[in-house]
Amino acid sequence: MGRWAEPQLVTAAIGGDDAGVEALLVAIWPGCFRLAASLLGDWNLAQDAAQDVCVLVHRKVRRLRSVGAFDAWLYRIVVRECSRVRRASRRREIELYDEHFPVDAAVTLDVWRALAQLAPELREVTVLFYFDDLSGEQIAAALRVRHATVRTRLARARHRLRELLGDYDDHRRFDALEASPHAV
Amino acid sequence: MQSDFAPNARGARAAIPVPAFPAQRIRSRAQRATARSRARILALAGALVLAGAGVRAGVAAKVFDGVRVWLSGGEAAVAVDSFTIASFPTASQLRATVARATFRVVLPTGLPSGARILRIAYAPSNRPTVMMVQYADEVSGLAAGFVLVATSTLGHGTPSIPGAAPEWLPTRRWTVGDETVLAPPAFAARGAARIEAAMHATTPAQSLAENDRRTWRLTVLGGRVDVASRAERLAANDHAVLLDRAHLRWIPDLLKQGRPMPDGRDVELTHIPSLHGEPDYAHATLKFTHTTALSLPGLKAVQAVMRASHTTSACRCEILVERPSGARYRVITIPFSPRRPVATSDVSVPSFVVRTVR
Repeated sequence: MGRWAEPQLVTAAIGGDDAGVEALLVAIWPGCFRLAASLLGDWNLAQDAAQDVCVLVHRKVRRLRSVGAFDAWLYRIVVRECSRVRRASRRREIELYDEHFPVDAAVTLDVWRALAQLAPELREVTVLFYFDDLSGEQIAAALRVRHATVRTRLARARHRLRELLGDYDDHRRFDALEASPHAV
Repeated sequence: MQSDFAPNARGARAAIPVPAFPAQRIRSRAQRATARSRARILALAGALVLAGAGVRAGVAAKVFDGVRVWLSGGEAAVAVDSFTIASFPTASQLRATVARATFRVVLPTGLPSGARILRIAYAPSNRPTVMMVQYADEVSGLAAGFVLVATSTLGHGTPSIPGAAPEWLPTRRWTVGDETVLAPPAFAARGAARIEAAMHATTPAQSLAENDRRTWRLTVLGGRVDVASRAERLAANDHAVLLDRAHLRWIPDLLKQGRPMPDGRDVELTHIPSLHGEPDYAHATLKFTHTTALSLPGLKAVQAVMRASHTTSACRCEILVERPSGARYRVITIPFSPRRPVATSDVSVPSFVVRTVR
């Protein structure tokens, strides 16, 4: 199963008609919206970005050559559209991660407060690495930066998160990252 | 507090309420965006002109209009804020651009005889200090761009403009009169030396006359250079329009809206934003000339021929449209392969009855 939607849905959209594309959009909408919300920290901006993503997918998904390329392609689009929406809204006062971002009862960390304190480029790698469990190479491809840049940003984000959240335990995943330079 | 950040993060995200999927809104926006994307595709041609010259532009803060070039050693750096681009330019467009330039323009000469000008770009629009010319040759396979800069406007060393951090790339360059020429480093040394020698031996007027022959006499809205060259040989006069597949795809939408085909060859790009330090041409502000390339009856004539011959916009062909008289259009379907025959039809106006000529 793909990260975003069942491969059959993607196949139907690539080779099919508008109905196939719309079925795919319905499937990816929650994931797109939540990723955009996590990256942008604003519910309304996330709606704008997720809609823009869906419009792009609607127009371009038929040009994809393989179903396997869909996940990485969609990550790139979501990240790029979020960057664009953030730039366009630079002058607006935004309260990051407001009441639209509830904390689940089972969650013991104030994740949103920590994300709000991170610079956008650190927030991007944090969200893609921790929330979406992407590898360093996948993050580099989504952000169109070098692999080494992802590693540097992740290290900076981790340092900052330690300051913000105290003694959260994330050694296992990060130790593996540092032990193998290509593991990210 | 001992916890793992990742599961906490995922749990927090799963709790974000998701709004209903706005199906209708996305559907209508997708339709509108398709039309807009055509304009963006044309704008991207701007990047190709620079790329053809082997330079990659950066973006500078809005403290100058146009394109700035810096030199250091064997490398050049380019920053862009705005420029105008003309695809498949006509001789009059080329002459008008050269006449407005702030320097005595010596255009590249000594290129293969079959080389045609694919695009010209210049900046600033009113008084160009930089001009870029991109050539393509179907026979020799030439695809190269040259950047011509008023030497007096060149910067040396590190760019002193705030926000400008263009990438330095090796380039081949020479000076002719008060102009500096940047040629792509990938260009063969012998070929570059021949062009440099030819440019030294010519005058601005002679170079313009030589390049006149490389411009286009038809209205070529896009597509392949080899097909456009064949279209020129087929056209009875200069008042003909060549439609590539992208423009053929556009026809049903235009007919539905009752609009003619606009002439999108000339585009002015301003306020080019930066994306990861590189110019984001797709989100620049675009200004088109408000001229019509093909009228509504012309579009109807093309559609009538496509229907009659079962030709779709996915065909491996382009379509040339002429109007020999007020009551008749001539529509010539030119296949990509020169071995396949062209199909010529006459369409009477206003009945739009199609008659195959040969």
